[in-house]
Amino acid sequence: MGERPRTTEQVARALTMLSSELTYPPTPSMRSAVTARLENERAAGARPAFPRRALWSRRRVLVLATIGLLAALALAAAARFAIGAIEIRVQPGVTPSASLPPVEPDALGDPVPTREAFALAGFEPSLPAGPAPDEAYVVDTVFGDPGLLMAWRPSATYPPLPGTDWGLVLAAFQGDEETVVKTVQAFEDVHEASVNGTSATWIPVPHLLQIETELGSRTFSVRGNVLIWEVDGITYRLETSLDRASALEIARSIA
Amino acid sequence: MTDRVEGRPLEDVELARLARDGDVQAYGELVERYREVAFRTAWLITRSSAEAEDAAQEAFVKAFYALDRFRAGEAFRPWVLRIVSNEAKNRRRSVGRRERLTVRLARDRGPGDAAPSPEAAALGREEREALLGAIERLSEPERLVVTYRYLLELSEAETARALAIRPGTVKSRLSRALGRLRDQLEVSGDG
Repeated sequence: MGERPRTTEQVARALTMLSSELTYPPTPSMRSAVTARLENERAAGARPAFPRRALWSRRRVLVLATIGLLAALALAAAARFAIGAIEIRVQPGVTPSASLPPVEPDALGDPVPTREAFALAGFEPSLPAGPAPDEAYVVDTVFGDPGLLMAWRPSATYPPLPGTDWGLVLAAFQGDEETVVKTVQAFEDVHEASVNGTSATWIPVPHLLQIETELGSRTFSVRGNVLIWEVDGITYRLETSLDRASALEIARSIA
Repeated sequence: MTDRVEGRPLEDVELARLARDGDVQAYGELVERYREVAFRTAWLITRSSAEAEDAAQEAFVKAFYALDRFRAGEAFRPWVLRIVSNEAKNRRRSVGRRERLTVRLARDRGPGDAAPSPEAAALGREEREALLGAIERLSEPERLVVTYRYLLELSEAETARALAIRPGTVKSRLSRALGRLRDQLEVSGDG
């Protein structure tokens, strides 16, 4: 019979010792399977371009964007900052193209019952007072944990969002890996706000929204007003046609 | 020849750069270096050998296509483990019966294995089983942080990167988890 750890320090030491005693299934060989698959996909053209080519293309875009940006730098500066999992970029001259879709949750996956979505995502965000969401979606990301999108149909409470079938869209992401990028044109487009004493950001102008999903980057054109804030490691993004005061009221009801 | 320069193994960052240039064999070297920790990470999440193997392989493929997002100066191991973790979490949803955490018995040790430290020896079989049971009863966020930090022996910084959480969150979760483990061991010891 051994001695049970009595302090957290002893528990930590016991865990360290335990690691060398753990049994794992034998590690399978993977090198040849992975490299053969990559070569086959390259030969078949079944996958996106190899990273260097993708990077080169992106670099070329970046060079062009930089040239344009340099001209604009005399007027304004480009900058970026983040709230939890959402990065906000200020880039003069970047406007949402009319050809980009609005944020339609079903572009990111299939709806699942809300409780099931919470279970699948592995966390449970708070919801605004009032009716339950009409639909919920799990967004798998390559880097961060899964995110959630909840959507409400238009109603007297939630007027329609331009170009969508929805009245309110609430997104929730865990952690601080910036899997969501919003791009606005000017610092003046981003307004400070406060939700229950927590610093928040209010963006009442059309802008771009990019989400890094497991299947690649998706870009949307946002036409609604957006409020972003973070509570207990969960970043919330609320999109509505309502004004700032009403959006803040909804956010405050998210306990 | 992608894995050595003048007899020295190439650094991860150099292999990643070669792989980004399309050198699949250089990437194979990275896979070889990290397949064990990737498989174990996936297994600790899925508790299924088959799912863990699939998750680790799929994660290595996804990581290859995401190499242009691997930043210079970043460590490859936690970067790829984050992708492994996500892949494993997605697959865990469909896993049926889960394999259990087990420890080797003294008679299972091979002749080349290190003898257990006095502290490990002091933690008898019953206590080790109690500790494993207590780990299983932790909430998932706490179990993962304990698993990464102590069972996979990642540093706090690597754990934070691999779990996509802040270093401060790693510290606070670990502190809470260790407290819970201590309390559970106390209760089970009293019984």
